[in-house]
Amino acid sequence: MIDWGAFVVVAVAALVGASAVVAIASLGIRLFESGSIAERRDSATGKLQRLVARALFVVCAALVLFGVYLIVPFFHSG
Amino acid sequence: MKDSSAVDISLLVVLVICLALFFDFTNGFHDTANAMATPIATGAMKPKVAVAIAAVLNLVGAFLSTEVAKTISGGLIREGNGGIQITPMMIFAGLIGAIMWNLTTWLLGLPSSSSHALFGGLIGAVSVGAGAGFGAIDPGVFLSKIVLPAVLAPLTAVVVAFTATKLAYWLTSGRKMINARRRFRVGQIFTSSLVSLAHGTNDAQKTMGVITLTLIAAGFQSPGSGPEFWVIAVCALAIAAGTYVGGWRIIRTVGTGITDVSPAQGFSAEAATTATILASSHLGFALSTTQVASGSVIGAGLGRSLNRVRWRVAGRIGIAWLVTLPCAAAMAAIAELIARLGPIGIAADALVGAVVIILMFRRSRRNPVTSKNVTGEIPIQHTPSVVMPKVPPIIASAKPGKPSSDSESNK
Repeated sequence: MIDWGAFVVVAVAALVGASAVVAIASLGIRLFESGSIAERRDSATGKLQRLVARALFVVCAALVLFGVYLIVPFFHSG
Repeated sequence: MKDSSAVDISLLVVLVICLALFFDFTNGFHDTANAMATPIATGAMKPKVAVAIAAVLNLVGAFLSTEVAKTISGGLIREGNGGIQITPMMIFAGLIGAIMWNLTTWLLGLPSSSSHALFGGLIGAVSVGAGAGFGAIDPGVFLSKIVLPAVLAPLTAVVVAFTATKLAYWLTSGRKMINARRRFRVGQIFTSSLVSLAHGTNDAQKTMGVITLTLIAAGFQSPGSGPEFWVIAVCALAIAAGTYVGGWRIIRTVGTGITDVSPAQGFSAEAATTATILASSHLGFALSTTQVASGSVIGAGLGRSLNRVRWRVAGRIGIAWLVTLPCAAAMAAIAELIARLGPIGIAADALVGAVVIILMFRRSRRNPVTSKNVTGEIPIQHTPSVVMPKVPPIIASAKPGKPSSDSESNK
């Protein structure tokens, strides 16, 4: 009748996916902000924090591209 | 209609195609809110820019896949040998029901599922037209394909968006971070664009499926074949045009009616919507985009606190979901009964339909909602459960000097 297994898989995948994107973006924003504050005092930590933040934003961008990949059937079913 | 001449059939098919495209158009403006309500509400994008992006992505998305179109009837209506012969007239009546209901909910500013309206309309028309009553409908398929997903979609979205919102606020907690949270707006642009693209790949196909079904039923196309290119093209254009016109009433309900969305909440809600829809379309459990999107906004509101959700608005949306299918079915059933009178009946249907549509648009002029006032006051809010100064969020947040964290600082 209803495929509960499929539903649980969908729900878990959605939860993990959304949480991952939001967590990475939030950490990036946090590091970027505190890095910006620290950098005003010429601290090396600030620079590092902003570098890591940028890396996290790149990961987010990659996840968005993965989303596009999933949406466009041409990429994965052809 | 078996006694009618070939000319009548062609005329009817043309009429059905026009109606199907109009339905596609209402589908577009009904669903702009799914992707664009929260970015408009937080000022991540200007209203006009947001609907333009959504329109382009819907147009592109419509060309990307025809999987859904091929399975539109999905076995819900027992067609074919030993089953029920679907005639163009039934599709005609079904579309009238679906369009009427889509416009009614639009006038009320309620985000109801266009798929439910379409299925309801077809079910209503077929039940009456085939004279089989609800025997025309496979109850098992009805329950597992429509009823249960309709309950599970918003629930899943609420849980996912709630978790994501909690996470976003927890990871950006602290006094220093209050201003930083507006940076989530940049993320909103991307997540909402993904929702638009996913919508385009799904929803335009329902109309393509209906038109193809009509062409097959009228004998213009061989059974089992996919949509023709011109069908794909006109459906894509119709849904994109509808999206660009923008169902501002619904955008207002979802963006500012359910809860006051902050950038962090908006991003979390959109991420939850995107993740849920992508997971559902790839792991084989179809969920309604509209219900997921509205559920996400409720979840994002809950992620801040319980009393930030205007339950009266959420309740109205819930009721709209419950009655969408039966109401569209009832309207389609009436249209089908009238249409059975013959050509005069069909003409009467078309005329009544056109008059009702014009009246609804005139009615909407009395309290117009446009891109200008879409983030303004909500007239349907009777109980101010949230005691907050009502700043128009878009004006406050569009300028960097005035942080949108107005709503966050008086937490």
